[in-house]
Amino acid sequence: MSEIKVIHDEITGEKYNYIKHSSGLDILVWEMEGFSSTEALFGTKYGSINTMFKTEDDENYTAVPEGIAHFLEHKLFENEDTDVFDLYAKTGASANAYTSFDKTCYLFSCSDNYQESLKILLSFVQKPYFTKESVDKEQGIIGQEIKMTEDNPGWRVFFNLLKCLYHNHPVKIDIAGTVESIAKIDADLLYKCYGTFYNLHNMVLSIAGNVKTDEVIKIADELLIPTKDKKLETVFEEEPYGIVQKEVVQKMPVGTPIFHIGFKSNALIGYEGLKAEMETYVAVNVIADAFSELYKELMDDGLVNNSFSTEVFNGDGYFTVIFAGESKDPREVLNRIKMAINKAKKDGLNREHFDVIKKATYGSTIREFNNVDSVANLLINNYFSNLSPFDGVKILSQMTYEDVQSCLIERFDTENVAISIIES
Amino acid sequence: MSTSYFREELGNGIGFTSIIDPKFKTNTFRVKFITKLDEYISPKNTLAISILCSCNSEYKTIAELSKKLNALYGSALYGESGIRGDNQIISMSMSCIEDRYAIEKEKIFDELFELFELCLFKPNSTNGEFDSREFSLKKRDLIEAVKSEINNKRGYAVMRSRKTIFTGEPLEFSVNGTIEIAQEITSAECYEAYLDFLRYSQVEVFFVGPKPMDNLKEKIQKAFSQVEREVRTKIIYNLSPLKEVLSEVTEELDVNQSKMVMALKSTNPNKYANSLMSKILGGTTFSKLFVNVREKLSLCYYCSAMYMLSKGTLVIDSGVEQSNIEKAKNEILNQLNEIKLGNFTDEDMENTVLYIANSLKSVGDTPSSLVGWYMDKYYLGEICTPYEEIKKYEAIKREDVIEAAKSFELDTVYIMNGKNDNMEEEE
Repeated sequence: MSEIKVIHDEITGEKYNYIKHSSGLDILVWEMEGFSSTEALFGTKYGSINTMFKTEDDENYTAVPEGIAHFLEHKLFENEDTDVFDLYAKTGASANAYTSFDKTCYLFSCSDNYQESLKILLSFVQKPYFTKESVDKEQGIIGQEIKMTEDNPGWRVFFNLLKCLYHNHPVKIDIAGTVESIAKIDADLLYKCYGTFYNLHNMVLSIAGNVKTDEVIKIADELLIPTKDKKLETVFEEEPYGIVQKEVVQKMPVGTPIFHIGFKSNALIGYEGLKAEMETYVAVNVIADAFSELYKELMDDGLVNNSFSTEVFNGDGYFTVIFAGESKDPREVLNRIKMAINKAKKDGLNREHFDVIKKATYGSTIREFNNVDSVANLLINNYFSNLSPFDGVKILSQMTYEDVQSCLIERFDTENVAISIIES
Repeated sequence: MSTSYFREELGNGIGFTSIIDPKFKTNTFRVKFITKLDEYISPKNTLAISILCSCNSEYKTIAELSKKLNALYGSALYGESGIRGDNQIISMSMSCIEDRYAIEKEKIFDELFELFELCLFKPNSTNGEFDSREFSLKKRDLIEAVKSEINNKRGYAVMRSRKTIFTGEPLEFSVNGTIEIAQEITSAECYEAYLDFLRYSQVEVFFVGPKPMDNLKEKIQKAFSQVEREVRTKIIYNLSPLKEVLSEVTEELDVNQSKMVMALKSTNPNKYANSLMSKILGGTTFSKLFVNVREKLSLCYYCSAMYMLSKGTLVIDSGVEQSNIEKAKNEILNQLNEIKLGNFTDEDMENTVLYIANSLKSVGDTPSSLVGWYMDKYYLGEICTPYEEIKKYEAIKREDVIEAAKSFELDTVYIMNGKNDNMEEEE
């Protein structure tokens, strides 16, 4: 029998159902009254960074070619007898899939027939079928995708930065791999990775919107094939604190030169990881949002334009604060950012600004509950980090100025920073 | 729970649409100015709306305005400049969380509405010019945005192709203009463009929220009474004429993957049949282009078709290796020919209608898609709900789709050749 728990949040009044399914799969269902559409994601904790792994059946760790998680995602859409898109065509759902650094998700969104679409989703992801011919053909398609990303300066500037920051961690690897690395992939290797990562104990089903929990459980009972937990372990080579190199420049056609500046620091996981992420988010906004002294100065001196932005990029084994934008002089932008950080470390962050950013962050958290798509994604993203979707609101309600000031000292090391530039 | 929709004329060319649905946790307010798409005036309008949304007479800089918006729980206030048919649509948009979520019980929407009034009617300006600092900053942003259009190669190829596809029509121009045009804009000209669209455009105002706002209609009327309105701009969309001779344009760029954009034009009045045909051809993951050109023949990473209803134009864009361009072009036309010959199943049609219906039924799930829907319907002069539109698709017969396919003729082929494409083969 499957166990159902209602997870309720007192601050927002929101709730969802958590089901520990007898097959080994965790299922998260968020019923959203009044919405017409349904969004479902069936995901595995398997992304581009998981290139070394073993289960209880293996003696040693297996290392696999770069880009294989993404390759597997493409191949799973072909069943032995039919194409998955043809099946979805009969339900009217819009189906897709994506591979990120730390997960692969298969998804659909629809307004009708969600139960039929859910049956397709749960069935095809559990039915791999790879042949030499189909693998060879996919190498051509993914080769085109890789070529397309090579032409995307926004993508290149980001991965060039990660290569500057990370010595060993596979986050520096392009998600799709390279034309050379995917040439090493064959059907056997795909089955090996599938058997390891597509175990229901390593997966989750997240579904939100116009949906009923009992209907989802009924379909899960019917279609999920119980699997034994194989005690999967993934490892990364040890990553030193320091960076690889301070700067990288690539030439390709762009308007104004574009830049990514990254401050690397030690990674954390779970609740502590989210706490660090949110404190860093608040800190970086106090330092560099449109109200900051830094932003005003950079704009007045013509060093950035309205594309200037910040991001906290973190996950299993990596944590970086990124400042991105376009500039005629990216190195000077880096100098100014370092000066602003050092000043904030010395004098303290602007306290009034801290209060305002905290309030704005609360508002954006509430907005996430306004949309079926964002709710389904919120559920799955938090699940894979061992978090509840309400942890963000809780952390925010307890966050103090002192927490954020300490985070600034720890996460914005002006000696541990790199810059990536793309210019024509 | 259900969505209620109500549109009324407020006089002086202002329409107000109120969409209420208790499921929403936010309030959204948008004002759209429908104006002429013009090579020189449109970039001035684009610049003006960006200045208006970054400061006003009370919050004189982006810093001050941004602080106020953040204090209102991260409320958004932003401007957009886009194209519909042969018009430019200039928008000022705001959204905020509903008051019941305010920790300190603030009246968030009321305060945001005051900001909107200040931004639109009391800009940071003196003597018929915008504040010089704010003007210079935003002008630089506009110029750099034009320069950066090249960064997104797919979008850049489609944008470049428009120059040829719509030569001699307003749509050949961009709302951002060229670098040269943007550089020439003065603050006084930009201010004048602002006054012009405020006075002379057709205005459509939208509110989407969980419950009606007290006296919102009166507030909008009062706000616009500050301006002497006289609507001069009309909604204009003309079918794009087919060129007498096929236009083929090739440009070179330092990229790895080449791009091809093909445009076909039709005068077939059955626009729903045209639209359905375009989806069967290349609008879904089970369409002819996706299944054959991408999946079976591996000729392109992407290859999709989009029908521009107001222009009667079908645009097919693809990312393709240079050595495969001819093959891809022939195969795309071959797939269209298959539809002309009736080589598609009833199931292909039913599934595509089902796909469209699924997508239309979700329009009511986000405030943005609701505004987009009713704005489009108003623009095209045929207000209907997504459910009513589904019926129109369901009524289309197989013969209508064949007729639609037959009506399209090739007008333009634009190719962006990659200088680095095929390097591996050359080696």
